[in-house]
Amino acid sequence: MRSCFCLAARTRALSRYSSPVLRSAWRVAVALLLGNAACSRRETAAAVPVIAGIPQQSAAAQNGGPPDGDHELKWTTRDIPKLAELRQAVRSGSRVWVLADRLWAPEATGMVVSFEKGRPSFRVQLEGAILDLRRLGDDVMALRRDGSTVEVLKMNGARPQSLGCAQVEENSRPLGVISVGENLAVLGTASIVYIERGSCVARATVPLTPALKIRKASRVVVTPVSNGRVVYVGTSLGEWSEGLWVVDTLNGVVASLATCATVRRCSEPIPASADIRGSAADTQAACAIVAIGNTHWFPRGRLARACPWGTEEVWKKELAPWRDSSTMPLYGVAAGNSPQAYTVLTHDSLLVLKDGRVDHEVPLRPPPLAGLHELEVEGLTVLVRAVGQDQGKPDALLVQ
Amino acid sequence: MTWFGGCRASSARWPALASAPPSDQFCTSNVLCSYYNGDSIKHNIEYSSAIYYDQKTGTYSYAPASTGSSDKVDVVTNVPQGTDYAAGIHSHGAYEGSGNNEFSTDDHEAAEATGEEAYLATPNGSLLRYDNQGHEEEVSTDLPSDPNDPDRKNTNTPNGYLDKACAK
Repeated sequence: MRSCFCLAARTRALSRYSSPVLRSAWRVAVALLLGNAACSRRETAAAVPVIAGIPQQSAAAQNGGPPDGDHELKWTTRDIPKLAELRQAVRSGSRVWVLADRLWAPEATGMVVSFEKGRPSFRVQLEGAILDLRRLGDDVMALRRDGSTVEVLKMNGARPQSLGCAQVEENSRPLGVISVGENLAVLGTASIVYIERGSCVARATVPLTPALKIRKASRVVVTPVSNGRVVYVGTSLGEWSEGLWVVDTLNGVVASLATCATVRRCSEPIPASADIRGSAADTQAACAIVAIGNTHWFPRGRLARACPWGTEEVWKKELAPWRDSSTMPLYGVAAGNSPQAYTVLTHDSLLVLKDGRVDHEVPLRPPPLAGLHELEVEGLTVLVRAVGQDQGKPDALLVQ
Repeated sequence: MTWFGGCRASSARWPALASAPPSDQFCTSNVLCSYYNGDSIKHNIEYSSAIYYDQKTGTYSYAPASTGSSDKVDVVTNVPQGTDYAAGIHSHGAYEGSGNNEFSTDDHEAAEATGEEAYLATPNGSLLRYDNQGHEEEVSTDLPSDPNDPDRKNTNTPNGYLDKACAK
């Protein structure tokens, strides 16, 4: 029993970890208990999308033209309505799966459309709502809800394969599908429901203590790390954002990592009002790297590291002040292969960070055509919309 | 670009600004919100504007509103040359919970950061003011309000709201 990793103990003893010595001890303990460096290497690999190895020039030739500046255009489509909000995108091989809000039926969120260069796109038709889309290992998984039933689907074509389903309690809003070790589970606001493969009876249910209190309208960013042992849950609801929590999936203990309301009122890097726009497993074991961005009244954003023992600021960029110290909002992040190496998404570019500084910047220049465009930039895949710009709503999305 | 004319109507409810006639700022806020809050509710998007003071005419007016999404909006700062920015104002869209009828933590933070007053038009039809010093007050309850809001302050249904409901 890895009792010393228990978040309840962490919460009780958090104040004692404020010294550098104890923080270091915590990190060592986590590294040992979580397994190993191999585990963290796997996380790093998972956090950085693997791009199909097509040389840029030959791929550009397939597109009928040279690469567009610093990036390559893969495909353009109008299959997603311009008013639908892009929520998540994952790739498997050369195929990209996009989860977007269905604006014509907002009570039943989520439609999935699949794209691949040179092949027809298709929309996955399912009853109910698709709540989450995630790459687990080599597979793309979706979480579907229909009434009180949640189902985990493996996306392998227009007809997804059901891996199992379960009933969820009325008071537990399903947030995401995760894998805890080899086990599939559905993380909800009040419990973790472990899925029995091929069955519709939950194998186990672990209540969350305390339950997550998240507004119904909040978008959530769920980031499992350490092979699913630790899960970070961030909220994105503009001025109503509610912060970031860390969940110990072994015992369901939840701890808030945002203990003060606003950045201005304390020096905490992730306040409760932080709008969490993206997150990825960090190179540091058990930690996540978090992109924060909000443009309510004035732009604010930063890159921060969240760990079970606390949070720290990694990077931010001051903007020309307008009666206040505005900072650049960030809308996505991918961890690099080395510590302190990250790529962050801004409203119009990718910034490659190394050792806390901007190494270089790549502007995102979609073609002057309406629609959704897939660009390959710096080894990452970015979806960009050429039209439909809306304040505070970035029209670019990092593909995980 | 067109600018909405200021108003001089007086209101005893509104405290004076040091450098300007009392109540006109409130009047302008109320006119603005009467105009925009209905659309904000109908489309569930936030609107934002800046109230400014024109020393030449001695009146307040407001800049054309900008639109955001259901949970955020950029502040408007581009007041006409020769006028003084007086206060920020925005709306909270449609009713999505009682929190929409209050200033958010973000709103408080923005007002405190700029040291300026902030007005808020809410789904229940009230106009609120925050003085950036920790004090809020309800200055009006006659704005268009969301019929779905259980705490609705009046029966001023936004123009066209029923058309939208029928279209669902």
